[in-house]
Amino acid sequence: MEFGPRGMFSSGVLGGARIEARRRLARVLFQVGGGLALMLALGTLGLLVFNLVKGAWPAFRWSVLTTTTQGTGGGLANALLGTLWLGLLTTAIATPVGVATATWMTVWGRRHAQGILLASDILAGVPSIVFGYVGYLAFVLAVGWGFSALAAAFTLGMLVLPYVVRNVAQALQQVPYQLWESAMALGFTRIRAIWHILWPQAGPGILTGVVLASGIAMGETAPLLYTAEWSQNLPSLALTHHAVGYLTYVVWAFIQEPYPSAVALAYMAGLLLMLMVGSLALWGRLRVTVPRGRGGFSLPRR
Amino acid sequence: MRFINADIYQAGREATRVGERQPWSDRLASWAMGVIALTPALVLLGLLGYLLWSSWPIWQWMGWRFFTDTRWALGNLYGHPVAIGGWQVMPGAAYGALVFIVGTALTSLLSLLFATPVAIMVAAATTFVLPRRWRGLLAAVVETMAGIPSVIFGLWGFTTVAPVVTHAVAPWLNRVLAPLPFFSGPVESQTNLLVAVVVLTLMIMPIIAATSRLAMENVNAAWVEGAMALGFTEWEVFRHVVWPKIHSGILGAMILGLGRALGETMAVLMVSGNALNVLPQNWFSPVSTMAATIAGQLDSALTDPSGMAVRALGALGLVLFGITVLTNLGARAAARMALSAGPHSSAEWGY
Repeated sequence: MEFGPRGMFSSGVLGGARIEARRRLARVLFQVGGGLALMLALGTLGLLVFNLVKGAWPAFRWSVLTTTTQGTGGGLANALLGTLWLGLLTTAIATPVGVATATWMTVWGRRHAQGILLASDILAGVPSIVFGYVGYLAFVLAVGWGFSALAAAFTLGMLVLPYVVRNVAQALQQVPYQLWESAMALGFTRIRAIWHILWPQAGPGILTGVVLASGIAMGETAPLLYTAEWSQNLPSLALTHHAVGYLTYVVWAFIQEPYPSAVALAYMAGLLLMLMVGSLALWGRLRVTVPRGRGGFSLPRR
Repeated sequence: MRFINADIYQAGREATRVGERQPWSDRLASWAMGVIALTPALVLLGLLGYLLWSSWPIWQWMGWRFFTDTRWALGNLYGHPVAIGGWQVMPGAAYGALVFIVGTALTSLLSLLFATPVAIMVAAATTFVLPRRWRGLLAAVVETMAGIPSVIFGLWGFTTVAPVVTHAVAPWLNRVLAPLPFFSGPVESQTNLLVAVVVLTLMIMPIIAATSRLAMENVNAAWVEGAMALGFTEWEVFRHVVWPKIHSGILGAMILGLGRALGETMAVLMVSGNALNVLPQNWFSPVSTMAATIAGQLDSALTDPSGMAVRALGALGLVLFGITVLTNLGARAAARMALSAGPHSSAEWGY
């Protein structure tokens, strides 16, 4: 029997030690359950990474990064550069649109801001293959760009736009509004206040949001299968009518091949993707968490 | 996200009303950015329009049979097209999506069933149980799992989970669950419903955990501190103080996870067995989902000279689009309910 707050429950009137033991058991079960669930999650992540490294081992040579794919062997230079190229193009398309949308919502939006945010959130939930299907019909066939970097980038741009909008809007919201008020009081025009105060102040947040979105773009497969297709050549500056290779395709297509060289390349592509996309996501997640604690709580440790 | 600042950002609107017009530069910027801000809505409408336009002949031709037929066949691609209802269709072609609809429902609902308890425990562990300095980091690591490309989950499921499930887990499950009709039976292929469910479970768990964690942190800190001061254990705080306040938050998290599971393409394509024309007999049967079918079948659909096969995949896309839009609206509604009680600003909630 112990004194202090918890002793209240263990008074003889309430049945004492039995109740106390049950409470302790429930608490231990809760802790064990939480620990097991967490271990399952972290264990999955660990196994995933281990499996990638183990599988990629036969392809572990520097020339993987400098040679292009030949049939089912060779290197991954074309896919790696292609992924970066598509990520860059996508970001170049989605960023201006997303930043303008978020800025308008913050500065002029009022009621309409909610409607735009609703549309953006619904867009974020649309499955990626739907973008792929429509991107193929619209950009590859109807517009006539063929399998190309531009068709892929526009398709991915539609897909990541809602992420850019939400992240940038959140960054803009965190700029202290006194700065804006001061600018207005000094007679700034709004566009001048946006350019000289709002955007520079929200700069790091906007950057984080854009980088997170480009990470999402580089990890996608389904929207690219029928827009970028696949190419063994290094990506060129030709934006239309030239197919582009990318890492996710290698993972998907080569793992089902019977040749060990192809399977090793698939693992290697997965590992490279994991390093690029996973580290971007973790970096962004750790940066985004900063305003935590206000109104939140954490239990004292016993 | 509530645009609380918008009113303040418009300080000076009163001045405008007194007679001072906004300068031309502001009016131009407002107009230009306002037009650009329509993009998300226009993209949404564009997707819907394209899917409707593409799938229209299928609805005219198949009608409700699209939802009730199990047969999905391109027909004789070398035959002469027959005219049905004003559309050219290859002889013997039929597009019934029941197999894919059942596959989508089974994979996503079963994985939701398995993922939710794990996710709630993970969220509770990163909010209550762990030493404080580990909480933020481990929560971030778990949530980063949500950002791993789905094709990597597919790779892992195909090479690691599938063999383990078929050769180790399935025989054991068959011994334990022997008399049950759906949960035991012959293992027909190495990639099957159970493998897809395991992989999907691990994919959607971080999403549910992240959102549940936000709901838990949204509970009034004073109540939690009060309960601790009264001598509640962590479990009692969770069960009697936090849990009653997070029902709708958990519901919203589950719907978000469901939305991801419904639309998941590559991982399912790699581990589900890509069944055609056959409904699953038990949870070791190959299945296929709507999203995976679009990705897997578009290649061969392009060989159909009548173009109906591509349109049928558009019809699948339209159904999928409709379902995911509805799930997302449901998640928003649940999140709004969760918010009405909490002290946090909606900005942190993401809704």
